[in-house]
Amino acid sequence: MGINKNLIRNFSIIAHIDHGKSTLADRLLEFTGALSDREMSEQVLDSMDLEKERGITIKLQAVRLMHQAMDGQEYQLNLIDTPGHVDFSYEVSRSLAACEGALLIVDAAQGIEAQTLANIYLAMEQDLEIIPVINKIDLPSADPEGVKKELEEVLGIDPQDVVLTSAKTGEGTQEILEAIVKRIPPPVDNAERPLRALIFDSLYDSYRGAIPYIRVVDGSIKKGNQIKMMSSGKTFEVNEVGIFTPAPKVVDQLKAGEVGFISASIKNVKDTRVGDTITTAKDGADSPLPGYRKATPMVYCGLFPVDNANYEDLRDALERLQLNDASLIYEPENSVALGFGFRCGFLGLLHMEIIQERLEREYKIDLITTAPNVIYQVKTADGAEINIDNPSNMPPVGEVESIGEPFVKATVMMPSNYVGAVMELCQEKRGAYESMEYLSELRVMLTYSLPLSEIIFDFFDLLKSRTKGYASLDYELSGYRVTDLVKLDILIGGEIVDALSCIVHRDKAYYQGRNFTNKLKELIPRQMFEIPIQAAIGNKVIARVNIKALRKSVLDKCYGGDISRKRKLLEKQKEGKKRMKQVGKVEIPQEAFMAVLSID
Amino acid sequence: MEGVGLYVHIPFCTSKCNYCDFVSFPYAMVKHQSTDYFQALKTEMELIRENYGALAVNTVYFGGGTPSLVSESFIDYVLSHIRRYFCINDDIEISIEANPETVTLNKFKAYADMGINRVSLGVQTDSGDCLIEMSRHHSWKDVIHAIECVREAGFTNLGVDLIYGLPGQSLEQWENTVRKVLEQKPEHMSLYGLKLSQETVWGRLAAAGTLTLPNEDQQADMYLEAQEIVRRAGLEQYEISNYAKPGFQSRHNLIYWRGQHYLGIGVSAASYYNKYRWSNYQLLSQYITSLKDRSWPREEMLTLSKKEEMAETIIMGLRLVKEGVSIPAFEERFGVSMHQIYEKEIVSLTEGGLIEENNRQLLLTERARLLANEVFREFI
Repeated sequence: MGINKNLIRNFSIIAHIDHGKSTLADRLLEFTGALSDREMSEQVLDSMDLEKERGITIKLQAVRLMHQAMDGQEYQLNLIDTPGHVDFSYEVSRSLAACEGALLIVDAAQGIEAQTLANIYLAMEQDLEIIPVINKIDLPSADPEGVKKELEEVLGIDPQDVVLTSAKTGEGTQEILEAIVKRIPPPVDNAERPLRALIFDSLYDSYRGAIPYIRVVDGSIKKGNQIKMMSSGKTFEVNEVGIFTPAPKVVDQLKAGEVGFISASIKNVKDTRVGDTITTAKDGADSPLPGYRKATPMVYCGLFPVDNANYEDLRDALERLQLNDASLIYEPENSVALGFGFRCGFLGLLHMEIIQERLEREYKIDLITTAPNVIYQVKTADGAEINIDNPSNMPPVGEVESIGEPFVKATVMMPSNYVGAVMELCQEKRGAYESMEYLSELRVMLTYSLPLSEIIFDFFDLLKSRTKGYASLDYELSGYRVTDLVKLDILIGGEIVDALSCIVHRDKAYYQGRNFTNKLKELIPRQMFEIPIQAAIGNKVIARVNIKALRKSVLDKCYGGDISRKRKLLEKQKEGKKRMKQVGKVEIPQEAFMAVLSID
Repeated sequence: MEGVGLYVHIPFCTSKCNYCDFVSFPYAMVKHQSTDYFQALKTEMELIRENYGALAVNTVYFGGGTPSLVSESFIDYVLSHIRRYFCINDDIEISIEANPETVTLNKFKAYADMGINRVSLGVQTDSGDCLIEMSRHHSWKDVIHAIECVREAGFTNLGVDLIYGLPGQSLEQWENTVRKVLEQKPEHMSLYGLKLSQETVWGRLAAAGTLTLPNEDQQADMYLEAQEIVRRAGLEQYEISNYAKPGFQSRHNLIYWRGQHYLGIGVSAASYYNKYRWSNYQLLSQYITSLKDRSWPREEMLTLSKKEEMAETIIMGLRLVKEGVSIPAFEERFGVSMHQIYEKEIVSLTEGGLIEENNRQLLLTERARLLANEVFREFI
């Protein structure tokens, strides 16, 4: 029983941020009746609060839509939503691995963006059928013909294949569904083969354990089956099989080509490895499904609880977060200044910010974050090669022969009148020009080679502000290069605060040292004694400022009506102080540890 | 019987000074409500009498606003009812706040006859320009004249209020102001550093950046200079901002700092009685109407926990720089030793040179007076 394999379509939607992917997904849900109007709240698939707040998608969600096509048949369309930010290409590749086709969304006013290209290449790697969709045709500045031309010139897409739509008004929604039905191939019919299902995501439920999200490629899976994880060999019994409508719904079985989830009392999260293949415990498949591009953390930072007593809570929280986010890595770290914490690896700055916010919001842990840094390759004087992921672990100057840092190939797309501004920015960030291409009369693509450490600071924000938001960025690692780097130390009250050390290019050291000390002077409140703040390279102090001692901190008038108000004010000040970290005698607010990130 | 202090708020002014965030109204606008207001004060006293009995009152303080602005008959009205509803003894201290331009010999003779025995004169500064900028309506000459009247009327207990940290004020100017006032030989001086809240005219100008004020360091210098000058003139510093010749401390204000009980009547007045703190309505009509209905004109009422009362006792008591907080009295009042509750804090503050124990009193060190908030926070 169940639907004919030929009537199943598995697809993703890939697009640049803000090109309307989520709105379009909502329209598809609405049109196919997956949700009644009443249940529609804007952008349903972005279910995490954080996602809704920031208007971005982080987690994959898989939804089954039932669509009555024009040929009269009912089709099962499985939509897998994907994130669009440059940090999350790992997530994108996971969802694409579960599909046969993808809607490529391009904004009718903005045209092709760097992220669009990146994901097209990903989809091509997976051999997916691409349906080009031009969205936001309702906008006054929309130029569908121009964008069609761009798609043809840059990607070789036949303008006849392009579907025009406005997710806002709903125009074109039906055409998209028809295109999915007509052009995306059904999954290969492997119902008779032994079970093979790809785990493309997972959720951790405190009652039911780990819930793998799967795409069944061969065979079928149902309640009662004894399954085996091919990477570990561990076996489990399936208690539940379900799909997302988008709400979870239990079904009898999932067949080849279908997408859903299973519950199998998997207590230990490490037993559901994303990318793994599930097969049957007995007479299972010979070889697992091919894996996909693994995520490499690009950016590291230190995460410390403000209150040392919360170390265990932080550790537990990171463990739980990792359950649903395999690209987050972490390991214990110890700082003289900040105590015990963790060195964490992220796919990018946005990933890092999101994890931080989730830790503070969902797990209620006050955090100190140290500035993000990259991994350096250090060659020591005695010939050894070591990787340093924490600036304070850099060996002393005398022992270092050379330091190599990771470089990226960055692709920036912008309207042609911003080329100068972008080139200037890249130069400021130690970039080397590689190439320039006119995508159309008015849009240019610049390729620069840049140190990753320059990108992870404020590059993206500066890029946006200097191009009034029109530029887009994509980057990928292109290897290590030895450059003239030094370790910049910060001393507060005469003592090195290890958590504030950073690696900078020698030419920028004076400038950054001065910048950093000035910023700290602004952020650290006056205290009962004078506080010297210095920046140093090795023994040499290259910048110094002083925070004068507090002179007056008293309420001059305190009479009858003032007393309770005063007590409340003092209580509030006391609360504020709790969030500060004491380093030696000096109280330092959390923000100070990120001071190096400030945009000048 | 312990007795309470009684505060009476007279919320009428000629106009609002640019830095003032007390509750007061332009007299010209609300004059027609004066009678109602004073009758409401009377009713509030009746409610107190009904609910708390005939309390012993040790001090009376007329504050505002500008109490000396209204007709002395209104003040008399209030005092006669105070005598009716409370138990007064002959030793009572009755203070009134006054602005120099409203002082006349006749008025102050009348005050003396009513039993008022202390005057607090709002001088603020001697700089004519600054006074104009503040929107005050007197000059230094008015101050001299006012003081003469006050003395002639027979007052031997005069206090003068000054503000430092005023826009454009230099350390020299401030020193000069203090000396000039001391030449007039007041028994008491209150010196306040300018602190602006957002609701005041100057507060808004400062926030917008159009008013330049001496900075925190300059205010600290002014405080220390004045402290020296006033002390050498024979007035003892007894509180963070208050100086007096021996025997002339403000007994009413001591009630606040000693954590004793007081009742405030009138608009915005605050009270502390029986473990409750409350404050009255801030709007004139609301206050009057409430009392026409014979109901308490209370806006906010708090019950204090023991911990809160202890904290308040300490942070107020430490403001008395010579007297401090009495350790035995604290223990008697709360049934537990200060050292027991605040051992850690006392040790660390002592080590930091901010407090000291002397003869069973806990005191701020001299260095800590300007940094008192840093000390107080530890006791919260």
